[in-house]
Amino acid sequence: MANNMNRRPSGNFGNMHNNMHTMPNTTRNSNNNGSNGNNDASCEELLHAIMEADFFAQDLKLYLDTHPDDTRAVEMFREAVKQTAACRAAFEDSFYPLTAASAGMNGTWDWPEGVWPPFN
Amino acid sequence: MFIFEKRTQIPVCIKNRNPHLASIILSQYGGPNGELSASLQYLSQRFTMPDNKGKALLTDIGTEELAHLEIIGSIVGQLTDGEGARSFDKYGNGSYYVDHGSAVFPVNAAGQTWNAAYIQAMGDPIADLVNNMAAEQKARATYDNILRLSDDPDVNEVIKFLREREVVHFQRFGDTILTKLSRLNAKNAHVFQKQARIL
Repeated sequence: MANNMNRRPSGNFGNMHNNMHTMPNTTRNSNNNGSNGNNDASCEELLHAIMEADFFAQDLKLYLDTHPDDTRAVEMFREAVKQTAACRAAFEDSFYPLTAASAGMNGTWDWPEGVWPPFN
Repeated sequence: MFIFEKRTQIPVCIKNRNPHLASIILSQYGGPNGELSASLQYLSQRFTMPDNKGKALLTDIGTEELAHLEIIGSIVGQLTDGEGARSFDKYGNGSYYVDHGSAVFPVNAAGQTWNAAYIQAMGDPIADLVNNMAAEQKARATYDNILRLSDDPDVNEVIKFLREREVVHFQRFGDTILTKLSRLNAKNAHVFQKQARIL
């Protein structure tokens, strides 16, 4: 999994198992404010990458609830959670907070920003 | 507790506006086999599920159902976005519009309000889990019916995902029941011991 860590997400939700190993090369502290450099992942692409990775984690979580002795699935779950967190951090760095815990980081109340139901 | 994340589980992007289709989809919001029913059923049952594994599964599936409730609400909200009284009336939904406007309100496709009698919580692990397997199949069958009634490809793509999740949840509940049944003859048949203590 680790050797794919620097590829951009494809944003193709239908391919989640192939794409779940990809992630943007930004991190929470990488000072990326949408002025891109080598990361030009769009808002939509990053959102899809979060959805893919988090869905994989969700499905593994339900599986592990009934198959707790499957250590390989535990590893895959940890990797999917890490992947989700990295994608979410990259998204929030460039766009808007997805959880209230990430709001207000620039000193202003930006929690209402972004897309809310029914349009997200 | 629950933490909200400002996104849906999968993308919901509906191009067409159709208040009639919205009123059909709305049954999975506030109808007998809808996502509100499922989430409240599982999240209520977990308080009396005797083992932590069972509590974890009920919590995790119940939480995913809340995410599905949000998806259904988003479909309905997009299908009716910007539609006014005349449009609702033209599509045969004037009676809904008069009481709720274009709001997303928990009713079934026939307009009856959501009712707690839709759900089951017995405090008995086997009864509850078997009920949940039935609930997943009823939800799956409802999604099948929606797919028969809807020809909107944007809507159907999302509905197919939700339908598939019902099948996965059914399997998870089934695995849990098999584990419990396999322990019924053991001396530590906790499921029945727990019941005996309550009695």
